[in-house]
Amino acid sequence: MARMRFLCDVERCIDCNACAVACKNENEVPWGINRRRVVTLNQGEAGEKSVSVACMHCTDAPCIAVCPVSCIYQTREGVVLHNKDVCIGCGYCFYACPFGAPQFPQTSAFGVRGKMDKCTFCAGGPEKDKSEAEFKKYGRNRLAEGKLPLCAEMCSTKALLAGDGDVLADIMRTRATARGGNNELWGWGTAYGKAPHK
Amino acid sequence: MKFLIALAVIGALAGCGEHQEARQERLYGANAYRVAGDTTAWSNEPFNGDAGAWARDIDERARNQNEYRRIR
Repeated sequence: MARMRFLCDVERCIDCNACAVACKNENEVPWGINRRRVVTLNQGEAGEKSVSVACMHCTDAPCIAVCPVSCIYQTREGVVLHNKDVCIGCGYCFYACPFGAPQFPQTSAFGVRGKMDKCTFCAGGPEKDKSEAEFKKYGRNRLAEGKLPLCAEMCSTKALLAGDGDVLADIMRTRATARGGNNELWGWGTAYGKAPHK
Repeated sequence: MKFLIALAVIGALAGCGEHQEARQERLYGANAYRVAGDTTAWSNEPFNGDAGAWARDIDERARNQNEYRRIR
């Protein structure tokens, strides 16, 4: 059985935010919620790195461990999903998650939190597959259509990859072998092979 | 009346006694999706329960993310 994973190649990510936009559009994510975002380290300095971050669908997910109502679960493919009908919006999962993946919509004034929302690996949730109810609560169920999450499929530089962990490891191995090393440790040459002007 | 109260207390505390292994199995196990009321990704159209066909489609799509494979 496949173990679904995201992998962001920081050598290729160009901080275009297409992944975040694709996610918001595909899942009609409400205002104020970002299931995916791009974080840039050392911005403005030579060698800055960007990485696209969302729920990493951890094997031993801390959000599952801390949820007091056990609304978060893991599917057979390793995707971490949750049941919005059971969620009480306590925010424990937000504190437990090292990636800040769980988000809470502000449903009214005075900081009242709504039901938790997070990346579903485009796998919907515990509703009838591809139903209106599933889409409204969790977004598109692309896995049930035999497709991968749109953020990865939209990535123009193929920095963000999604799929079975073994397949992603094969892809990264191919890239690392093609990149070589030394003076090509970062930049165009690292991402795409030899620089065109060389 | 006392009996009913005792019964209610026992019922209320029953959830506190869940073993860690049982919780692990319920939330992480192979049937966790079923317990949560979910279905597998391949249970409906177009796969109609064919897990192999679904896995092949997903695998092919994942491998096509490798442009070295597509260009050569």
